[in-house]
Amino acid sequence: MSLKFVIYAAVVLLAFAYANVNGIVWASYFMGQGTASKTANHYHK
Amino acid sequence: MTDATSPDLPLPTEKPAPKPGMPFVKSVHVFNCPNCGGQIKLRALGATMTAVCANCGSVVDVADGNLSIIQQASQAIRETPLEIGMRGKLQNTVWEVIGYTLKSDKTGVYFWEEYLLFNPYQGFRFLVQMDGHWSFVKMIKQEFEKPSFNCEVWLDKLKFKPFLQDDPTVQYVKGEFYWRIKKGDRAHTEDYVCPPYMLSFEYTEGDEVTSMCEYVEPDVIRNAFQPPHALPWRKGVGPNQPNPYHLGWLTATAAVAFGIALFIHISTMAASHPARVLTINETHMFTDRSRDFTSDPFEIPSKTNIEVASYAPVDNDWAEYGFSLVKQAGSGEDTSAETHNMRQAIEYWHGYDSDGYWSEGGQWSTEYFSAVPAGTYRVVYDVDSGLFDKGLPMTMDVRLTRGTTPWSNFFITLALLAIWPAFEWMQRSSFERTRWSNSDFAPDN
Repeated sequence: MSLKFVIYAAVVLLAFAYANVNGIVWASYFMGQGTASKTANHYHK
Repeated sequence: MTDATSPDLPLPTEKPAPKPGMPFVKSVHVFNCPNCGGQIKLRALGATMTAVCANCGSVVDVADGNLSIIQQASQAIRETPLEIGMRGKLQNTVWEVIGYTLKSDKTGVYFWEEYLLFNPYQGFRFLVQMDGHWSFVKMIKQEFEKPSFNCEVWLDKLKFKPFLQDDPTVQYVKGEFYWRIKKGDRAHTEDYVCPPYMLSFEYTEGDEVTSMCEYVEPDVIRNAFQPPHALPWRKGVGPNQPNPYHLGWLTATAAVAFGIALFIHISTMAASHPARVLTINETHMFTDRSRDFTSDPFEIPSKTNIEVASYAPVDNDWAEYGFSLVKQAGSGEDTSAETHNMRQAIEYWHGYDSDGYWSEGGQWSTEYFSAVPAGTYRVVYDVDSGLFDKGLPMTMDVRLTRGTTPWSNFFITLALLAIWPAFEWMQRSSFERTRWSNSDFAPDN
């Protein structure tokens, strides 16, 4: 149980670090706001 | 557990001490039951005062050699999970089951079993089984300051909390005992718990016996005695059953993880260089409601997020902005035309009611475009507001900043790290609630 939590915590922290470095905002995905979409493309130059 | 005294002292013997791990060797004394003539075997010869005939169930006084019957046979001989004569090694000592007592609480609803164990070099111990929970019991000779039952008792720096008091009754006996016992005997008991231990005080007329009960896993009993039949299933939580859910280590690990998360967040903030990429400061009218506007292009040099901080001068009114972050085709490493969409609602309401002043919402709103790849972008936006319905213009103020470090990721990380300890805590609490549901009262902590 203890080792499992250490592994779990390590995965969460790695995901957090990766998100911060790559500008990923998790809350945007929860709220469905500001995330990438291939549709509804308003503008192309 | 009994009304006898000095049971835990080694019996006088001239036999050499047994080798560690080896079963002891001793003889069995046999005599005839005065009721049925059947054989009664004594294993603890010299200590046994009462023996129960295995054939007819009569309780016989064997202390003085007259073999007088204490109690006539009143019920059929029962099979028990551990039978008389079985041997098993517990706590590095081989013990033989020589006596069995079935007891009930004063209501006659709850029953438990007490096995008397004997080793000629160690003396007597007990195994107590209730609802599949086993305890190894040793009597102790220690004075306690115990003014009343609802007070805690300290022993060897262990705090024992009061758990249950009862007036148990002997319902059935078989085997032999070093005290006089028969069906119907009663006592008063007070139990205190400090898992895996339980301190039990038993009071009979003019006598007090204190016992230390240590919880034993059923598998240990099964492996030690290897009974031919299955042991009773474990039900509920035993009074002194150790809680399998540990919070100390988990909490410490979670705290360290919290610290690492904070370090990561602060490091990211220190390393990031937020930069304004676009400012929109325009006044719009009712006629702009159905229009889309396009910003000037701007560069995003590397994958990052874009903070959209928007202001609307609304007062008891609302405004809504729609943004599409559109990548210029062919720019950046990823040449696909990707769009990030967002709608921002800004509402600010306030006033007075019977409770006084109230307010809701605000004139600012902040959202994020997540993980925007490098490239050239424009923002296509639209605007709507309640002010337009009143024929008023509205100035929208929007600032787009790349490379920010929002706190939301940090708090989500804390929440994810807290889930596991929180779940463990709930299970631990549930375990304790189940334990104390069988108690006379729950402790205050």
